[in-house]
Amino acid sequence: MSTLIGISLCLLLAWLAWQVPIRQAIYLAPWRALSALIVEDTLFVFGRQLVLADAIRPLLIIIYLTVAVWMGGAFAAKAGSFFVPLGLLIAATLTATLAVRPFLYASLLIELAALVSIPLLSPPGQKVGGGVIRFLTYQTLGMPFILFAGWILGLETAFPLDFFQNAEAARAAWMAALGLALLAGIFPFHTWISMIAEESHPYAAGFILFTVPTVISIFMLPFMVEYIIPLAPAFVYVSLRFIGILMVLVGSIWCAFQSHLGRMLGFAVISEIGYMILALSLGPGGVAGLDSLFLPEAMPIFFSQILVRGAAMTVWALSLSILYNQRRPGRGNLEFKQVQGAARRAPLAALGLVLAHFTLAGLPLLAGFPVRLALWQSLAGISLPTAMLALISSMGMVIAGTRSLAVLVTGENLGEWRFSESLIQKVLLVLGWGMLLLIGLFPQWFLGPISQAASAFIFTP
Amino acid sequence: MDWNYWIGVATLPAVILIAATTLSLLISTDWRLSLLALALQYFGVFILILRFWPFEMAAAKLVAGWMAAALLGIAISNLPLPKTQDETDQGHLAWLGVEKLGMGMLSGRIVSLLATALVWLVVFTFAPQVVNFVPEVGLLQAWASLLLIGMGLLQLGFSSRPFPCIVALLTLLSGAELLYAAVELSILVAGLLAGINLALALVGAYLLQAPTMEEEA
Repeated sequence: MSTLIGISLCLLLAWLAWQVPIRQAIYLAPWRALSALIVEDTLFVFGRQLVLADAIRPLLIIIYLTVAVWMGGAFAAKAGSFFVPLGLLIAATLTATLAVRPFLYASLLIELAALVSIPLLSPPGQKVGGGVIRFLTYQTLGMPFILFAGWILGLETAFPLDFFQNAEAARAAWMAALGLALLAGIFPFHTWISMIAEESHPYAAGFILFTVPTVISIFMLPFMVEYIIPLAPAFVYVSLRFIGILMVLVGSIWCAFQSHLGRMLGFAVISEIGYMILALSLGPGGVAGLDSLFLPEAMPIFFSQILVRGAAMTVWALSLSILYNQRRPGRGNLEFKQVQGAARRAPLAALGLVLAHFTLAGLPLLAGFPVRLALWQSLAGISLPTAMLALISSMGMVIAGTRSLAVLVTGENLGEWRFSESLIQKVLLVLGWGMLLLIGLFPQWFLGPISQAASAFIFTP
Repeated sequence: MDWNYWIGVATLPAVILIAATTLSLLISTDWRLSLLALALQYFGVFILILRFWPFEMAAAKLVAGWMAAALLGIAISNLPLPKTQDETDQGHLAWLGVEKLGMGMLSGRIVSLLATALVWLVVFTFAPQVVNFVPEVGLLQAWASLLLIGMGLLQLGFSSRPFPCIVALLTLLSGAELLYAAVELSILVAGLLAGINLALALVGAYLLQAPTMEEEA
């Protein structure tokens, strides 16, 4: 019941974001003569503002549709009774991070969202894992750095915003970089990601590992545009490229060598964070005759990645949850030893898992390919070695997917092939595969509108 | 004599109180003593924050801190007691971090005292630079905030168990808030930070209780 309420609420909010324009007159049809209804974009809270501008509506639609999809899978994944209420709370808090002004206060809301997510990651009756504690620690440590960086950078009139000329500007940049690295799980603060993916319920872990880095990346965008890139443009792009490719390589290569399906998901997430940073390193460029901080392809790639990552991670987490729920009590959870031959009793879940692997690897015909291709092409135009390394790192994910497939279909004393997934699990998995294939085969249907909306984000120096 | 005079008089004792409580939090093996130290620490922060914030806002910080300590205390006192002599001998609550392993031994305490000395050295070295960087902060406030941050980090490094980690995070946050209070007077931010303190304590209470709760079917 709670799942249905959660899905309905998310769909209603997505529909409202789609249908109700902000700061425009809405006439209720039978009463056109009466005064029009106007939805204001600003809510004042203790002297500060929460602003949801009209331009952000497509993003709100994506957020609430994505959360609705995750809610839908929660029932099938048996993610626990906390999932829907806390998931809604996390979605609302993270939406507020996009609205709060000055936006640096968003770090406080991100911390609140992290705190709310703890019961999801460490449910009742289970020993508290080290990953949860580390996640909490890093999120709490990151917040003051962002607040202080924001304070220093807010004093921009007091000193020139030049990283190399001004010690205060440099200090602010390092603080901001450290804060963002702690919050988003950027190298070397990425260890909690794989730990959580190993210790927690795969569906809850997948949800948190998708939503938190995604929203933080969207928060990073204006922060970088307004404060970080102007400090030392050339240095920032090169640094982002270096950190991005490092994370992509670390994530993909480590993923290939794991012997735990949950940890593989964690390392795939680390690699995805790297791709997100690589998209932000595509600059500077020119858009529509204007100087821009990013190449024209950068924002479409950045936002399209979110859709692809969301679809792949939902299928991945659902498939893992089905295998996790079938584990034998007291025998560990998703280690290779435990899941040997699991494809024979849950073939649809096994196939979903492998498809999600290959999607994030960027294999042709799957959803990840068009976005990866665009990223590789854009990177090659700026830095060929980085593009080559990104391409090579995809091999890590392919190897990981192949190893998972091999483990799931082989083993000793294998039984007959049978479908042990429930009806709802089968339906959702088939829908999930369909989505991964459809986006891959007809990217213009899904990624086209996103790219078009993202093209509107032109950041001039 | 005005209000500011009394705040000035109370500043040094507040810094000493904070130094004593952070040390006590690090070496104490009794959760009651730890929570008492945490509550006293919030009182010290309250005195120091009065220099920057109006009384009402500073009092909100104090109340939020005391509530955080009370929440943790209630959670621990509701934990099931050891049922057998074995559980008692092995420190039934140790895995929750209520009792800090190693700190009961002399060598453990010596190591933590040496580490504390190092933190203090760093704090007293860097505090003047912080004052240069944030001129609104006085030297004593800078000492106190860096002590809280440094000792919080040290405690985080010594344990990965829920109770000491949550207490360390609360300590660290207090230090950061003390510095930030000098530059930010927003009621919304003060409210959110108080909310985060409370939420952190609630999460701590949950993490302490969760392993003993019934697993969902």
